[in-house]
Amino acid sequence: MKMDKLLVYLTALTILTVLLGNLFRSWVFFMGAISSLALFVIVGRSLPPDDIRVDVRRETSRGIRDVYLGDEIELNIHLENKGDELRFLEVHDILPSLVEVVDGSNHQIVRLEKGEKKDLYYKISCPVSGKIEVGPTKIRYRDTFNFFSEELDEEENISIRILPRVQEMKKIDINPSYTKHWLGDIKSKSIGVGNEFFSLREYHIGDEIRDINWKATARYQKPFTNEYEAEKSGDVILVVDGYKKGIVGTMRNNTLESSVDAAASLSSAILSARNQVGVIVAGEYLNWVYPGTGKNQYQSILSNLAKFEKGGTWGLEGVKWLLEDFFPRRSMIIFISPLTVPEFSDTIVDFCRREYDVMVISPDPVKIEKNIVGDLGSTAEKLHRAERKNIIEKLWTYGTVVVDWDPNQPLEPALEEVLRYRQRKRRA
Amino acid sequence: MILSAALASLTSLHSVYWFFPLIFCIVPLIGYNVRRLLFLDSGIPLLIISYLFVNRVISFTTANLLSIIGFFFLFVGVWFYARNTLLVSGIDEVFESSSDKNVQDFKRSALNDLFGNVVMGFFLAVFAGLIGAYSSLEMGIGANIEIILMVIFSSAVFFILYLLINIFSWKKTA
Repeated sequence: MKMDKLLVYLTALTILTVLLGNLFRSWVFFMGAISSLALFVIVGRSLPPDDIRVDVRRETSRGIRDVYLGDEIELNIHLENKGDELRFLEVHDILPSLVEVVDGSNHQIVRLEKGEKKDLYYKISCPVSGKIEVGPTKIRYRDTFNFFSEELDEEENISIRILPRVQEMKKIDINPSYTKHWLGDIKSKSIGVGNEFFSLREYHIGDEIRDINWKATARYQKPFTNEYEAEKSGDVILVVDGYKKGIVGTMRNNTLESSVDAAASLSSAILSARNQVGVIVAGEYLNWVYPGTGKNQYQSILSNLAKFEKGGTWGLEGVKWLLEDFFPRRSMIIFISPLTVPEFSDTIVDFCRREYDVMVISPDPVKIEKNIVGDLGSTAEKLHRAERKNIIEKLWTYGTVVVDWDPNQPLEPALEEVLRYRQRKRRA
Repeated sequence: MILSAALASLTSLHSVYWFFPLIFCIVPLIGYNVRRLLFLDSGIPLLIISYLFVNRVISFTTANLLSIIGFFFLFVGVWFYARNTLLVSGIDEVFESSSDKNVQDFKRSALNDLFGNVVMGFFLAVFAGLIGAYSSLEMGIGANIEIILMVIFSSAVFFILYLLINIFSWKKTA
């Protein structure tokens, strides 16, 4: 029974007035008791309905469960009143703290006639990538004077994956130094399957008719065949630093979010150049995707980037072990790290000494911090800058290509500049 | 709330304790302002009792009976209205779309409920009070009226019993 509160007050008032009436031998108190009883009976009219049953069903619009960072997703709550009329029904869909409601509301009041069905809509957007849980849905019935309330059934949670933001990078040409035999976009300076003309040679039996160079054949009076520069592909492995103690920034704007965005953008660009891409995310657990190509690979990389949890129990030994024992040798490794954890830069140096082709993309934590708090104070900023400069210089001396990236700016220009330098160095 | 307490004090100037309602209205007033329902809910019954105490020695007349019951329901009306206002202000704080049709309907239905409960409660209390007075204070009335009153009284008792049983048998079926 949910009318306890009012019952207690009225009963107490009745008993008290009867006692005082006897004590003072006054009819006035008895009138008070009679009025309390009358009120008690009349308030019975405002009792909650006998049968309070509401069916609740929540779903996303068109059943979507994956959405890109910053995109909106519509949630529908279907209500069906299977009991008596409900004049005040509070519907509150519980959302994680970072989720923003961009249209409508997740907390609404509805009135439901007997048997009535109602659909509530609202749109959400999440400023950080990862997995979010929507729900449960809290339903509460209240009377007009707030004496009675009744909590109703709750709906199960639903999970939505917020995939990282992907920047378009058309001009980027990340070519691994070591290529594999399968077809790609990297010109290998050797004869093979490709589109770029390389040289001419005499026709051999079995050559394709379409490869015959008709002009040369006419000039020398014997058949000549075109040879092409082989276009190959390589393996690129992205290692994302998700160690909690190295993360700088707020929940919404931090080095980890920037690293995840960079990894998603790079994997898209590298896969579109027909290379094989793998990912290792070093966070609370080690998540990895073995190198592969195509759209499915891209989707599985995004899923892995969206589901990982920041942390740091495994240490970098786990990453080393994975790269050495499970991933292809001579792969290009791109570390994406703010370089705030000293062990991480030591591991990178260790990989440079071996046969790996290493590149580092480092979101600048000082720029992120400055964007959040404004001026950092010149001494502190200078110290951080000097420390970071030392680490980056140390990595350069070991042959690592380091992209010092301001996460407030697009990645492409910073990357392009460093890649041009890398290509010049390789040619030299 | 202050107005109703002040009115109660003004009509109780015959007593040396006429200021009691004014003092006892402080507790529910604080409860209302700090949004603590416990203070509001315990303060109003105390205010009612203080008013009854101040007027405990007045003589039994129909005007006094109406005045006592009238003030009782005035305080109850203020109590219910304060609770509803707190609920609605909570809704307005939480819900941006307080102009929503559902919220407006709810506010309107609250006023209807308040008016219905207080007015009907008042008439029921006056009726019950008159019958009680008749039965205990030996008011001299004619035999015909006495029979009619007895029939009405018996019906009212059965009706109240029915309502009470209905209230206590209410169960959560959800």
